[in-house]
Amino acid sequence: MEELDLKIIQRVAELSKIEIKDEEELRNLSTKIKSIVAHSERLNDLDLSDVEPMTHAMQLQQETSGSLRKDEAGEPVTQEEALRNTEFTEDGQFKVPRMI
Amino acid sequence: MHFETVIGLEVHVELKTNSKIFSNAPLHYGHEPNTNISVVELGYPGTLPVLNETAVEYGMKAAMALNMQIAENTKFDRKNYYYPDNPKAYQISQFDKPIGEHGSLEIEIDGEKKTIGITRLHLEEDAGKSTHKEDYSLVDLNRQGTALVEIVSEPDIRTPEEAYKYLEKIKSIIQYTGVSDVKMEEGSLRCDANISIRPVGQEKFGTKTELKNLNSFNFVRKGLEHEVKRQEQVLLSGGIIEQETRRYDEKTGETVLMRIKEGADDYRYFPEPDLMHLHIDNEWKERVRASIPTLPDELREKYINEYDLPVYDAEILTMRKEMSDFFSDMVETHKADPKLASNWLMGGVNEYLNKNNAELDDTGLTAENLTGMINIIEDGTISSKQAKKVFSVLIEKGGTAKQVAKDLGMEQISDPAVLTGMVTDVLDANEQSVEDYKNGKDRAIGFLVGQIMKKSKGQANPKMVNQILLEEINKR
Amino acid sequence: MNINELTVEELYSKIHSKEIKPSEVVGALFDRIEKYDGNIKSFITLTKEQALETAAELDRLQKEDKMDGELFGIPVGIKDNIVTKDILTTCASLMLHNFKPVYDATVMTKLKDQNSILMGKLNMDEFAMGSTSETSYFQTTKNPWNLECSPGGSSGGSAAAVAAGFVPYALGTDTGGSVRQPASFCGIVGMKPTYGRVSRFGLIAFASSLDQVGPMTRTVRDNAKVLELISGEDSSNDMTSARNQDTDFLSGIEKDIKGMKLALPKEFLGDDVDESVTEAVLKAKERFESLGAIVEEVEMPNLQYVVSSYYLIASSEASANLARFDGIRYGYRAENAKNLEELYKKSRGEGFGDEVKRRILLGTYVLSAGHYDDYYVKAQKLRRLVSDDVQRILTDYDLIIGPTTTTPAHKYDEVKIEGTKEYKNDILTIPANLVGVPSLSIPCGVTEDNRPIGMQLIGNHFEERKIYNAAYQFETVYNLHEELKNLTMGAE
Repeated sequence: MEELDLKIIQRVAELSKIEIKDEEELRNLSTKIKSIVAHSERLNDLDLSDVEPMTHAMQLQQETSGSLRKDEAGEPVTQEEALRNTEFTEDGQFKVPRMI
Repeated sequence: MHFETVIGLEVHVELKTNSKIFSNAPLHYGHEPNTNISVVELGYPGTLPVLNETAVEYGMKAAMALNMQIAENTKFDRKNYYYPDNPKAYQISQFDKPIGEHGSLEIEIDGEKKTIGITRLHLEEDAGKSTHKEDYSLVDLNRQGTALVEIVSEPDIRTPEEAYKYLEKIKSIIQYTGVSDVKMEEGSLRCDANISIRPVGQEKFGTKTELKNLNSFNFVRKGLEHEVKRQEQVLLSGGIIEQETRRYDEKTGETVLMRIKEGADDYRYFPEPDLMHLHIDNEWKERVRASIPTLPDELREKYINEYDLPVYDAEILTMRKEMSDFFSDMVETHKADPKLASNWLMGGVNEYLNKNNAELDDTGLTAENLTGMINIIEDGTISSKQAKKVFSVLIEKGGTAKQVAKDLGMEQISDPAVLTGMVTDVLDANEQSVEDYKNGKDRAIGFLVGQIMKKSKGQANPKMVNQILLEEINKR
Repeated sequence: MNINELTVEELYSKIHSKEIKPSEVVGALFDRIEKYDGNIKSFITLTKEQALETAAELDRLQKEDKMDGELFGIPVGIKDNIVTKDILTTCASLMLHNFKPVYDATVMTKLKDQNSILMGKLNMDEFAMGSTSETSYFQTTKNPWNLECSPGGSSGGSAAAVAAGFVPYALGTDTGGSVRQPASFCGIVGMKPTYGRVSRFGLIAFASSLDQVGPMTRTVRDNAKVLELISGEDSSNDMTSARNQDTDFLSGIEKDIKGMKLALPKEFLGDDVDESVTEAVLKAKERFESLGAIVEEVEMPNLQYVVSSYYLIASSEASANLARFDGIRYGYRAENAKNLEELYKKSRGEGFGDEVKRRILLGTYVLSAGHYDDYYVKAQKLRRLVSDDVQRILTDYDLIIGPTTTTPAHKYDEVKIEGTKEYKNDILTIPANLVGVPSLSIPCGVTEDNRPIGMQLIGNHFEERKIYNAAYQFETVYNLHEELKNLTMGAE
């Protein structure tokens, strides 16, 4: 099993854009993750080479055309509705801090 | 040391559907910010994508036109990255099962044909737009969810000129299929380039840089030219090429470092669980295939072989579908002379369209009236000089060529009886000149013709005037 | 007559016969909520004002004999991860503490179309991640049967509210057992329908390929009726299937089940299963046999792997589904972020609770370069094997039966078990989610210290009707209806 050290958790937190306050939180988060990952090593006991992965809860497939959405435009939401769940807006747009 | 350049292009094309690829929000260019969106484009919690059938068909159409194989089974995947104009923080795209693969197109450089391989074409959703201010940015999601195809070339392109031609060809082919406006200035056609150089003879590719912000065909060429030079200089001075993303600066004409790539980006692709896999059966494929019009390459051959047009003409005429449709209509329906039709389209018509940034549709021209104009030039009804005036009226306002010429009072007098009368009058009034002519002074003819033209206010048919004048003078 | 004791069907007939008015129903239930929910803590948001307004309007329609809708005047509680237009929808998270959606979930629209009355939004584990209702940012819900016990989760608020008689029915959501486990812990009936039976549009996604909305009720018939009304193809969710036509679950529900073949996987009664649970399920087996059904033991060899498979898949999907919470367009936004990167990290670091963060990190890890094939792909392959197991059994049997959970409701101070053992409790509910088949939990016993035990009935895709038929028959010989009426809930 790969050593899931704190560095890896830190890197994953970077990818997930989640700030980790301190080392205590880091340790706390990593313990549980480690235990699930360790538990999952059991899957390695199985020979799964010939098994097709199942990505959906059923064999769901759009059979042919006709079962997809027709290309018809509907009513959009209004700008007011689009912006109403944040106070950070300007000129009808979402306002975010500078990139760096 | 001599270097060889290796270029691969990634072209993004926005599809001209009525609604977004995963929702029924409408599509418009240039509307008020955040007004062409639904809760899906806002990335609201609880929303789900529903695939637009037309987007799929347009993707198939584009792929087919680029000689690609269409996947029998295809699917969508999530590409994860954070950016304010990517509201779900994942883009729905296609990773390992693109809708089209193994395509190619042909370009021609200095009369030599070259095939450029196309690796894949996949469907995805476009992102919104960020505008950067001094210390903050603004996000408009109107463009979010617009159906997009990404077309990735093989690293077969060897010069900036080839890249230019490749892009031009993609634009014209896609434009023919009608699935996109392919306008670089509106962003419906976008291009990124991967570029590397290697010593001639070396098999291994050099380290590549990615070039962005190539916002026009010329910038693609210029950006690549500069990047080739830059890489050469780095290598020749003993440096190494870093794997990095660079931006073309329109003002300086140089490429500028945006960021160094630290290893590969980790997009954590995985199958989009909110969308079913898509099965494309043969019947569907054939139905879509049947809707593809004759493509520019085929038309080009036809123009060269059947209409005897020069290669150059054939190429220009087949760059846009409207143009070749118009040309074909003139030649096939209205029996215009192909070369004359081509001369007008490539000359006056194109000049006007470029100057006014207009489409053929926006003008008063029709295949019928332009053919009509060519015909009355040919039969001598109007002179080529006069034709220019008629043309400018036709293209601005429309109408028939004959009527316009008449309205402008520039119809030539070609009636022999009328012309004979005029000739007689002039001869009567200029006996000295008649005498001079008979004494061998040929120049006198020029003076007499001038007098007749003056009398007819320039409208006399010069050919006929000459002929009648000689007849009449010899009678005396 | 105690209005809080009435089932959906009873309320329907009493309102239709004008014996009671919708406003009386709503009023009586709010009285009860105000009296007991301080102890139970099932609601995050009460929508009393709107509910009374709607009820008054329905009173008028009742008077005019214009009682349209199969749920006319019948109150409902909705789990707080189902979006409700203009009404706070928090997912029990600080991240969405102030979020007012601009649209209704499809299930909500369907209930409104039937003139059901929304009483409020129900507590849950944060973003449905958990099985105790403890990870809620707002409050910990108590089990009405025993206030020291967890009502289960993540739909703990929904289960508790139904058991407590605050609402005759509620909607929950089930990703790995989140309807069935709390239903089992609270002695009620909870359905995880076939994947694609009910639209997920408006359900705030945890794991898209596993999530389903399901009804939580006190009786099997109520459950069948509510499921019928929330099912159906939805143009906003293309995973809802065209095979949805057969939704008349009530017709034939009373048919006898003589000769019905039920499979009891021996792994469902393994070492991890509490003795009280095994005992109750074996008793249930006898009851089924007394009803004429044939119960046989079968094998489900891959059951031991389902927890791993589930955690890897669910966390992967969750890591992407919860990436949209970035503080920009809605939800919690950290103050004083100096730049965009900080805005993301602080908003998400502060807005999400520990369990949610753990799962996002796990999912991100599983999907990241170098691990995808080892974990994500293997988990999906295992899912195939479990699906094969289930399909093989359901070729020979009508339904699979077994306990819903390995233990009855645990006391809050018992839950803190290290590592994956805690997750073991989900092992029996997970297969139905991985495979997409319907599974119903019904009460089958109560421990000596007053903790209900549930049994689940698993059918093949779109065979809810068969499940309801068997469950209804079982209910005629065993139910907890009287016990539910007598819960004291630490009165006043």
